[in-house]
This record gives sequence, C-alpha cells and structure tokens, in this order.
Amino acid sequence: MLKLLYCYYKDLIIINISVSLCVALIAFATTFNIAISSLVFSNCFISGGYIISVFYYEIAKNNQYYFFYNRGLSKLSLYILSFLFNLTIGGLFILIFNLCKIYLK
Amino acid sequence: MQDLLEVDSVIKSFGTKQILTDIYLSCSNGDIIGLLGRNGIGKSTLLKIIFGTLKAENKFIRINQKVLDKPFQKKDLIQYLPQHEFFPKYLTVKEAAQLYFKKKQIDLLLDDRILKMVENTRISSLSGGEGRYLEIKTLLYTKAKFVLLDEPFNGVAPILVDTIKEIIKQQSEYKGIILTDHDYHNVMDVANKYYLMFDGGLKKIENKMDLINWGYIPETKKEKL
Repeated sequence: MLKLLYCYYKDLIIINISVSLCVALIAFATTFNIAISSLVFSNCFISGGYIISVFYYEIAKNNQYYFFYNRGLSKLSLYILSFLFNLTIGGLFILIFNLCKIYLK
Repeated sequence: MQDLLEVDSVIKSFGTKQILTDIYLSCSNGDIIGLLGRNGIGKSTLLKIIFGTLKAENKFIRINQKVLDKPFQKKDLIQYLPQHEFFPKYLTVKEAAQLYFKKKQIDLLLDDRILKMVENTRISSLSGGEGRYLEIKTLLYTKAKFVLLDEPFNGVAPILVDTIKEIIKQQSEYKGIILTDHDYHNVMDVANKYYLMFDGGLKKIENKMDLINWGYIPETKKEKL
C-alpha cells in the first residue's frame, strides 16, 4: 500500500516542487527576503503546488490511475493519502526552514 | 468454488444518446466471453461500468450473490486492462511486478523468454507489444476472480498474440474472463462464449455466420469463413 502510494506521489512531487520553486523565486525576486520566499515555498508546496500536480496527473497521466484501481485504490483514496503524505513533507519543510531561521539568528 | 459475476439492467447514455440499454451478462470461472461490436458501440464503457470506475444511470453488478457498486475496490476480485498502456513508465518491469505480487509470484510472472530478458528494463523502453504483454500477463496472474480485457491483441505481434491466448486459456481455469477486441478471428479462437453488442444490447453469437447476419462482418468475407 505504502509502495503504491509512493509510486503515485513520485509523479506528483516532481511537478509540485517545480511549481513551488517557481513561486518562491518570484517571491524572492520581489522581496529579496529568503525567509519570506521559503515560507512561500512551503505554503505553495502544501496547497497550490499539490493541486496543480494532481491536475497535471489528471490531464497527462489519467490512464495510469488504472494501475492503482487494479490494486483496489480509488481516486479519492489516492487524493486523500497523497495529500496527507504531502502535508507531512510540507510540514517538515516548514520545520527545517524555521530551525534554520532560529539557528542563523 | 464456482464464482459468478452477474451484470444486469445496465443503462448508460452520453448526452441524449443512450448507448447501453438494459444489458445482461453473466460470467463464471472457466468462461472466456468475447464481446464484439463496432467502434463506439459501448464495449469499453460496459467494461468500465462492470469494473466500477464509470457511473451508469442504472446498473446492477453482483459477484457471488453480493451487489457491489465499485467491485474494483474489493481485494482480489476484479482486474481491468484499459485500451491504452497504464503502467507507470519510470518503473522497471521487476519494480512494477513487485507492486502487484510477492516474491514467489514475481518469479512465476517473469519466468518466460520475453519478460526474463527485460526484467530490469524501464517500461518506457519496452516496445508497445512487450508493454502490452506485461500488462496482460500481470493482470491474468493476479488472484482476481474476474479479468476484463479491453483490446488485448491491439498492437501486438502475432507470435505474442498466440502466447497471450495461451495464458488466457490457462488462467480461465481459475477465473472468468471477459474480453473485447476488433480482431474477431482471435476473439472467436480464444473465447468459449461470444456476444455482439448491437443497438445498445447484447446478441448471443453461435458462429461467424451470425456476425455477417448482424452486419458486423461484410458479406464479402462470407467465402473466407
């Protein structure tokens, strides 16, 4: 089950990180503040980046869902589980960025 | 134990066009049911409705006396081969197999001259026929009681078609199999029951002459039969 979820999530995270990095770069270009742009990156990774990556999967790799359906996983369960997984990783990013902020002060 | 899949009262429309009108079909282990029909007649739609990934206005899917709305969510019950490739391309053949089987079954799956040679190859590097063969064999080797195959012979070389037909026949001992393909020669060769989808319903076919009578094969093919 976890292996299957990871297989699905692997496709999402590449798009999610790319989108979040782009947004973070735009934030950095406008504020020149690493703390703000890292916060923007984490928030985008948890929310918009995740939604865009799922949307991309729907458009580009829709047929691949059958790989998971045949193992008994529905689309809804994939959405929920991958969102929770993504939230955990996003949470780790926030924790790391905050620790860096404290340490660098 | 005899497993029984019953599909009844399936009604499905796209817009104002009703493509499935009150379909009934039953399948048990040992059955290889061949579904034939023209393009766009609703064969794939019917398979997706049976599998549980497509909604219908009305449907009644019963497996072993249990009515199920989404049969695919039950473990080891039903598998579906879609028309187009569906295995993630970045996986190797072995990695894909590991997501479906345990060690012993993986050895069994990969123990043939085609898959043995490509077990560490990425799926993206396989030929269309090899990829299709991997998908079909994987689904047929699962513990599922029923397997739905949508165009399994499409884009596959004749030598592989024969191997696929052998596996289908071999696995039908433990499973009920429903398949659909435009290659009616191979469908009629491997299946032991045939239906033609016509006008939203299913017509039982006894022989190739019936296919001419229902207008699926042109009259010109008559002398070749």
